[in-house]
Amino acid sequence: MPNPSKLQRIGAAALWAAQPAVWLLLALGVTAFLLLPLAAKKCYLDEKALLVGGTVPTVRQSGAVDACLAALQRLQAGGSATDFPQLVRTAAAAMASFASALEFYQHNFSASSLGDGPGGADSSSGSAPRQCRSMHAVVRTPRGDGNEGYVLMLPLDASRPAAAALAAAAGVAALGHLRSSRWLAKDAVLLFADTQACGAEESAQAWLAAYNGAHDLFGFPRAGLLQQALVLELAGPAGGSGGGGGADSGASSAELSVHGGGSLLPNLDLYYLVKRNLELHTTLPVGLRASAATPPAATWHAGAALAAAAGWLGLAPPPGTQRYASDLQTLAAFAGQLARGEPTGAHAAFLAHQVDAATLTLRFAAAAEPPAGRGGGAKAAQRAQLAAHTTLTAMEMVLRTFNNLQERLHHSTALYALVSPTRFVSIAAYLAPPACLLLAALAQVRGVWVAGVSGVYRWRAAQCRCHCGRAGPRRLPAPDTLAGLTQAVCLARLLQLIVASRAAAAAGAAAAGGGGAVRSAAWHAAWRRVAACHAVSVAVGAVGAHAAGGGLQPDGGLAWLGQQLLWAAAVGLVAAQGPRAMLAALYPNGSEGGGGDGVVAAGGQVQLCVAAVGLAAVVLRGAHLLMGQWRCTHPIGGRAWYHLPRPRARTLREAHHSVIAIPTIMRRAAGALLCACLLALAAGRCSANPRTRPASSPAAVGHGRQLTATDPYAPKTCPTNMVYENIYDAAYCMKLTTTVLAINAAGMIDLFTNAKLQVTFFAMDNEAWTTLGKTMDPPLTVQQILQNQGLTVQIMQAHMVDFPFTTSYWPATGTKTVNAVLAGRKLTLKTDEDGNFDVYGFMNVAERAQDQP
Amino acid sequence: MLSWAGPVIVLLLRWGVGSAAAYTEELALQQLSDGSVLAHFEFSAAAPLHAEHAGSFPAALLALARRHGVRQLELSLTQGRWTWEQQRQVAAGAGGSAAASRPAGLELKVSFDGSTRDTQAAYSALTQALGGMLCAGIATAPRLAVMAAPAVGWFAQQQPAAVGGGAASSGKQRRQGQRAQQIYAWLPQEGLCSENLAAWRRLLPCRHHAGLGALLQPVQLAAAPYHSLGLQLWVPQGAPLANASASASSASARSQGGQQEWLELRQVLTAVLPAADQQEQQQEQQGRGLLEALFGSSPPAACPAADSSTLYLPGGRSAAAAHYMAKAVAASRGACRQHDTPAGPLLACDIAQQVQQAQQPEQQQAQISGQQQQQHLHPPASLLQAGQGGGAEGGPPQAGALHLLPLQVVQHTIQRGPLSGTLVVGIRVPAAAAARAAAEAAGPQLLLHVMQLLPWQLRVDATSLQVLLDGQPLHPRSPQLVWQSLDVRPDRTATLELLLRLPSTAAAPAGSDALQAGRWHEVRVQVGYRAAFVSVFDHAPDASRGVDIPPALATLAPDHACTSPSSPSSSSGDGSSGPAAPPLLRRLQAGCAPRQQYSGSGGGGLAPLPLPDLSMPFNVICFTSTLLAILLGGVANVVLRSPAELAGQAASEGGAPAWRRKLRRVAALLLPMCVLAVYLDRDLQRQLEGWAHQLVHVRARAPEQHGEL
Repeated sequence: MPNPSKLQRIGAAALWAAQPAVWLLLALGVTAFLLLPLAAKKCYLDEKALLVGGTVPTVRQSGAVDACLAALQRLQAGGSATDFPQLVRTAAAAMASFASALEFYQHNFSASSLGDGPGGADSSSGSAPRQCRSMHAVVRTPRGDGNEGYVLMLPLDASRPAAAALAAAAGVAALGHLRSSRWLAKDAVLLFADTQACGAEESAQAWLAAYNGAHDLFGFPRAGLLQQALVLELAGPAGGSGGGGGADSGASSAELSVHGGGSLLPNLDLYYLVKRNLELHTTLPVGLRASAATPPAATWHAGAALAAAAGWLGLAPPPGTQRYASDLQTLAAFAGQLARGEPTGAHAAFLAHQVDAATLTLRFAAAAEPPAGRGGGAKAAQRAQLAAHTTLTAMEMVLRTFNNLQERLHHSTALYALVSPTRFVSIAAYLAPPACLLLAALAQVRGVWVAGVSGVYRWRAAQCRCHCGRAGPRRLPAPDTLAGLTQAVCLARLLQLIVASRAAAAAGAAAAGGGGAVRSAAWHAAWRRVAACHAVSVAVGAVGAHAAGGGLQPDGGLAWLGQQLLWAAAVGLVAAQGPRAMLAALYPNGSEGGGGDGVVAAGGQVQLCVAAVGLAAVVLRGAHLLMGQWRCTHPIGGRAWYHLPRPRARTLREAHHSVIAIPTIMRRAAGALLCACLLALAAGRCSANPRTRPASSPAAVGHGRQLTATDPYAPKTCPTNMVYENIYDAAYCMKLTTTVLAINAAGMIDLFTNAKLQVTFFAMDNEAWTTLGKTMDPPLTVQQILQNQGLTVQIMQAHMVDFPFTTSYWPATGTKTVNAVLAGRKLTLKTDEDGNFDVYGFMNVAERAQDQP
Repeated sequence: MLSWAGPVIVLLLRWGVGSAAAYTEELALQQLSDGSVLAHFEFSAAAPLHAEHAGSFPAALLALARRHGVRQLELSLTQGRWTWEQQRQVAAGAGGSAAASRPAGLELKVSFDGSTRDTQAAYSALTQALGGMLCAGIATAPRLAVMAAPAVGWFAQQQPAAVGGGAASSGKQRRQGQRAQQIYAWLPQEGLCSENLAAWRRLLPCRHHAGLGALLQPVQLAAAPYHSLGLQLWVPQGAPLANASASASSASARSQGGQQEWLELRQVLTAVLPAADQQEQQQEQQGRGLLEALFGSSPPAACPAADSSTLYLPGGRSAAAAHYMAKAVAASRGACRQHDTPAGPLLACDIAQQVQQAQQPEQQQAQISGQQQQQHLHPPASLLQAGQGGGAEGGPPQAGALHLLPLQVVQHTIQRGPLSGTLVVGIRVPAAAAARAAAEAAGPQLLLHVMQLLPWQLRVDATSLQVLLDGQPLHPRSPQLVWQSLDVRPDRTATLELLLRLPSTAAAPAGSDALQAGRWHEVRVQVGYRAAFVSVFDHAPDASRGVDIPPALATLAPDHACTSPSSPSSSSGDGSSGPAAPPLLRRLQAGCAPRQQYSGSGGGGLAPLPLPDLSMPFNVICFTSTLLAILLGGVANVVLRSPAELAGQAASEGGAPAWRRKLRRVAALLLPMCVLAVYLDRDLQRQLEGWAHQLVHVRARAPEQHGEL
């Protein structure tokens, strides 16, 4: 028998060792955070297809700048136009010759939230909804399929006429420029938002809700799936925003902000492509808006002190010490903003809709209030010209970069923390501090766990010594076995809870969408899942307990298992029937299809109810198990199911042998089964078979016209586990790379190895032959190329071995290399009636016959 | 090289004329409001299905149709799209109404006859052959494309009214009988290149040497905002070939037996040529011919194999345009004739006759200078602009022909998060115009057939289907809903088909504008879907782009079969009624041809798929490996090691050797892992099934793949 004093010492030692470890890990976490700026990397563009810097701006050549300036003059000459639609339409009319027949769609919406807009202080006095507007136009690509698009959003605040006029003129000019551009491959959306009444983010949210909804299906111009967005704010210089005279004092600058709601960030490529375009094509210094609020001065002093300390410790070179302090402060502000989860611009609305977006704020003197004094005419014109040219250049280059990629940004990461406008910390580095904190928590939990187990063990031993002492000292299972068993049972219970909540969610969703028969089918499916999962988890617990020595008596173990299964069925029944009864009580009429939102709301209540039932089941069963661990004399139903092993062995070692002697094979088989079941449950897979929708379903019947509606996914609506999905696809990451690279070569390989084809032609027209000959060194004629057998083999290889990854062997599963196969093949040249060398014949039938005797 | 090839081809073609085949060339031009010009080429040929000599008919296509029992085939390769304004203008135009927009990419529709047992094998062989003929990746369609077997109403030549017309009885039989024999495939990734055009042009008897085919310039078409080429092949039921009746060859064909089956081929090319710049317009004013101004080359030599080469231009309604056209008709010396169509007057000029007149003996050239002759014999460029007022202004057509109705189809995807969404299809028909069209088609109501396919990656929720007609939801028992079909089998392209009967509305007065009146019949179909988390093998090459949703296809047809006018009503200058009209002209003159329209310029058909962030392989691998290690290692440690080993007291005495114990444990761990992997991975299941199929022919067919029927 183990010595309780020894266990006590072990527990004490664990507790004693856990506390220093926790403190050590905490200190390590803080240190790791302080050292993060040293691990920052320079920003780079991971998506090469964006082709940043591959072109030069053409807004001046196309006349967009001149049109913008003309419209700006007209807007400024017309006085302060405070009406938002009038502002846009005036700008469009002013450049009618440049951008003719522009059609703007005006979207009106009411905002009931208070205090969001710039005028929130005024409007918050009343609770009446504010009437807001937005206007947008879509530039269609002439040759694309129109399935993808990107957005340029320009907030217009008519109360700031200079900035609003510049934004309106530049936006309309950009629209005209895009319409005349031939590089347009995706549809472009230009969105003007009235930010005088509502906030920019609010306007963007309302517009996106209309865009992604069925609002005005035929009239609302849409541009397919939105992939990227840029919110471009024009404002006065930072130093002179307060008064009119300050317009000259502030310098032009650009500022980027990326934080979205709920700590969402755009892909790092999007941030850097905007920044890089600005650096390449404009003269504006680009800054970063790391936080919505200005950090307190104390952080600056703390950063400076830390920088001095780091310099003193030699962690950073002396010139970099100041940069370290700045980086640390920026990092703290960036991370703090992430922790708060608050957005820093209107791009947050796009991020919430899975559209990569950022807000770019351009500060110009021309966008500030016009100076009150005289004599500033020429200077003002220069400022306006600079602002118009810079704004249009930024628009064109960023949109053109968006245009180059016909898919979502995915190469770079969306998990990063910027320490400066040009450097970032990747997740691989910034996970170290939270990992230390997590380890500290785990160490603490582990210490408590060990102490608890040893305490329970000692308590149980003491109880047995008290109540079961007549038969002498009893054998006890080892603490590790007990801990492992408890962990397994807890894990099974947790999975049960997950499955129960999922089943309830699926059932609620299905019940919300269908009639009575559908609801019944959904609830039956949910009941089956809950009951089955509970039975499996209880069976796992029972088998585990049996294997751990609780049921050496066969009848006792089986009876206990039976009891557990019955209990599981009861819980499953309650979980399934209880919410259903509640639903029926809530909606006694229960008309088909009449539930509407009420049923949806009831689905949420049902989910909560089932979750509560599942949680209660877990708590009750956990308490039950815990009680059972030390209840050795109190019978359940007249008999104690938790028996301690009989006194066959005297030592712990012998006890282990006696425990594992009988059930080894069964225990290992059960272990393997448990392993598979746990993973299968974690994977969220169901074994439901496709079924035909019952004929009573309203969607399936109609005047005797049979509707072939087989919906196998309705009972199979178990959401896949995202954890599993990541595991699953990480395993295939390399395969994806292979597949994507091979996809072009695969078609050709398929053609050349298809046994059904008698002749495979490899065609190149005369121009291609001629071009090919010109590229040779020395240049060759077509005849010379065709006479050279080795050269034709090289041409074949050039077309087929672009991806040696897959075509090193031909076929891919064969044993011959491409070189060997091509060298032994007969190459036949065919010409058409005109004598054009347009078909390159390639006979493979005979060779195939030779290869396959 | 071409110097000797041309006469040889001409000789060969003249020999081919004598064989049993008919061939016509037609070109319809229409100017759109933005200055661009719609050019629609049609090359029609016909041959007896079992003829020994195909003549000018492409022998390879004839052999294909014979070998695989093809009853109907439509193939199109398209680049670009039409906006709604362009669609409306083209539909209202007199000459362009025969041209319908096609979805971008490759679209293939095949219908096999009853003798074809293995449709999949026939389809596979057919796509391989067509891919070779057109230099297109049609053979990759079974793997990548959206494939389905819809019921009815999606062939251009098919009359949906006849199919769905009686609604239930005949429609159900045809659906059940034809479902297995019809295949629809759409491959949006397939681009249209000049290679395809060259291969497509090789199917013409005169290729690019003569005839209207010589006008096609690959560079010009590549720069066009929209161009589409296609093949349409079908075996007409019963009726003899109309355009072949005029030829001498058809007489011999009919003499062989009235029941002989014919195979008709229509090679179609539609392009929207961009507006000419100022310099070219100035050159046009200097007297360039219309074809030269548009295509950059002089009118080609006539194709000897062609029975006719006709150019169609919309006739203007204004008095000045009519006067100008009359002058042009007189100047072309009988080569141009004016016809009446439901969309307005139509000028048909015989290009071959003009070319022959231009090549007449040189004594006439002494009387007329070359430029004047050119100007008088060939239609001038300004003639196209004169006829622009026909239907291009967006006004309603004079007659209520079905194919002139502005049918607006919009498709929009509502994203509800990354995993689910709702697909909305909206169809709008002007109510008064529809009523007038139905009345002129001698039927009380119009039928609207809607077909929407969804790729297998989007799992459709059948219970979420909702159909609204004019804002009112339609229940399955509603009399307006003739029938509906929703096929959502797993791992297959989901097919949604509806046949609606549009409500009859009092016909608008003749002078009223249905479009401006703002009264529309609006049909909205919406269905929810859930994006599947597909394995990495099933993603498209550009996985981060999402999955393309095929455009919705709406067909408007009368609720009964109507007959087309058999002979054209000619109102040419000489007033004589000529031989049977060419097929395109007959279609333009028909008043009850069904109107087919794909969705376009809506919210787009692209649905993002849930995709793991593979951009962070390091992080993903680290996290998942750690998670795997914790999960598997912990569980395996608990269940595979004895408590004594856990306690650090391994049993050393007795029992099996240590390596054997370890081996058993590894095997015990690997076995459930393998079973689990097979259970989870469909690809592994397919591979295992394939191996089982190869070893033991338990199953008659190989395991099915995504994209199959």
